[in-house]
Amino acid sequence: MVASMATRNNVKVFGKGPQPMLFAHGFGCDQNMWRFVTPAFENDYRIILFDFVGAGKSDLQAYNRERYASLNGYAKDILEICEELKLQDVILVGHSVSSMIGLLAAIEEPRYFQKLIMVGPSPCYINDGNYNGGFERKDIEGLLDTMEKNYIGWANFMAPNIMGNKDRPHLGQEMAESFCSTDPVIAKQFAEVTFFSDNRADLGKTKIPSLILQCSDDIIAPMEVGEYLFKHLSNSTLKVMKATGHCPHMSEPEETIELIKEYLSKVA
Amino acid sequence: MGKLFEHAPCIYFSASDDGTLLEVNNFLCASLGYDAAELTGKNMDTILTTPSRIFRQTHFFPLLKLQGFTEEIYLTMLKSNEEPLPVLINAVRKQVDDMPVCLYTGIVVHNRKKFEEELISAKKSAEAALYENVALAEIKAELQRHIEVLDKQIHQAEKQNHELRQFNHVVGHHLQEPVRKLTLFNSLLQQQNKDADSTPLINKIAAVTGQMREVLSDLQKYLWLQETLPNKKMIELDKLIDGAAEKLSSEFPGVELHIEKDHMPPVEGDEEQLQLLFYHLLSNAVRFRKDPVRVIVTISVTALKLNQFRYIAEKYKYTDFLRLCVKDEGIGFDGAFNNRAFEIFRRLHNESGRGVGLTLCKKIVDNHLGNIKIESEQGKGAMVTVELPLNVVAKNAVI
Repeated sequence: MVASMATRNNVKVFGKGPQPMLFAHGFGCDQNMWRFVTPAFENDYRIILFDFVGAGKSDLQAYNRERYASLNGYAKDILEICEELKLQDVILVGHSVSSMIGLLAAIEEPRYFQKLIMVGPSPCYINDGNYNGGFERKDIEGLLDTMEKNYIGWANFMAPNIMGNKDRPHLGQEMAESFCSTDPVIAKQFAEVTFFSDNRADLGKTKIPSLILQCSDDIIAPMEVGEYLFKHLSNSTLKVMKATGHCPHMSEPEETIELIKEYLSKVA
Repeated sequence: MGKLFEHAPCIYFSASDDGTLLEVNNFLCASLGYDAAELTGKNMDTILTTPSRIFRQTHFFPLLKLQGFTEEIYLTMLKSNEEPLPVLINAVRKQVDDMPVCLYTGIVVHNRKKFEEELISAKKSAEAALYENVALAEIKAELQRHIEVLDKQIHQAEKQNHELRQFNHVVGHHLQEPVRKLTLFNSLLQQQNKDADSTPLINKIAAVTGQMREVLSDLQKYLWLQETLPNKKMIELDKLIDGAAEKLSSEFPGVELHIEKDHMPPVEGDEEQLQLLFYHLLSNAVRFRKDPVRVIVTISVTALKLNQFRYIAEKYKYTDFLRLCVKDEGIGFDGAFNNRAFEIFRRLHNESGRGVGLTLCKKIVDNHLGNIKIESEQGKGAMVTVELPLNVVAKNAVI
């Protein structure tokens, strides 16, 4: 009864190398966000891209509120892909919340993974005592509100009767070309699960080597958070990037590629 | 006249990819309460509220970069006096003198915002009601299905339990008694037939009846585990493991057993059963050792969240579990048997063992609603992974 993960997660496999590099997109977008980075690894690695259930062109029917009420449910997507494709020695590249999703996957089934590459990671977004995650609860509530306002009418827009409307064919086309489209109800739950998660206690549970790519001036994962991760994550390497913002793989793909390559060549 | 557009009631600004403001129009400055000189060169985050800053990083920028444009994005700007300014923004990303520049235009939507808020709140309650209705109907149907399945299973379980109790009785009395007598008569025979030709045969009978008694005793342990509900309390695993190791040291006097273990947090469980679990796990490591005198066992511990539903598909509840990996450096066994190791009387070695130890382990872990698996390769030791749910009683005490 369970559909193939390849369809469920819109899995794309390409590249000429033997070792798998699995790219996990973050909250707010889909596998398209890796398109500036993957060409640099195609010749040497087997590239695997996918959309988490609920994002991009994944099967929305497979969305399960109970499962995706926890980052562990998302980690299971990664583990099921690894299992179906029989992956080994995976280099798992995760952006933003997917760094922590990747960490949870690596804790549950370490046998699949060789290295973790975390782009703009944060183990906890909300300030808590001495820990400075960068946000207060009300900021995240404000984000949920902003998302809602941006999705107004979205559900109607996506409704099949309009999608199939022959009088307005441009609409279907527009959807096909629009990136990072997400079902609003799912996006909201993903936002809550992401920004209210706290994985600080999980950092000490893996010994798999990891690279932390920390942007300068990233409001979502500030420098302090990167340093916290580096301190608490065993076998981790911290690289502070010139890139600013939260999406260095999109804003500064060359620097991102260079740092990942440097890390992969150094850490056996 | 040329500058009139500067005052047109629309927001206009441009910024680089990293958000540095390049140009701002008068209307924007006036709406936010800044001078143009105060804003140019600053990051556009300066004029956004924190939620809108997050939204820019997670949605707005990725979309703009991938598509080259975005339309009708709702954001909240931040005035110099910290008041919010709701705006609707369109943006395009263009190459200007080989530099990517993002051009933003927008309108202030005070009234639309109020209207939308009412719409959203109505939509939310409608959605919630719809979801609850659908969810309730689904749950009702599911419940009905489960009740039917459960009834059949209870019937089956009752029947099996009844048979098991009878079986237990047979094993306990009808088999044990004859074996006891057999042993007794055989030893009498042994005494009466000293130096006779039949001695080797009598000795063989003695050995075989001895084995039979052990098998019976194992079977009884299995039935005990089957019939007794775990008596759960908080257990110090460290002590249990030390106890099991001591017992083994006295049973194998010539063997040094070294256990390297992480700190063990307390778990909720049945002390007697968990003691038996560790005894059998360690005893396997000792019996199937490679080095005749030295046995090293490492026990590592990880706390993690696992789905507590084990049989019903598509049901999820991630709860706290403790994963214990018990690893030895012994002779191991053929990896092909990894999945069959827990079958009763499945012997993985010819050397010794009656094939009950791992079956008992599985029974104990099942009784604790946990998971157990074993992985091995011939000659490369074995690793048993036990996952026990961490029911912290004190935390969730409801009753």
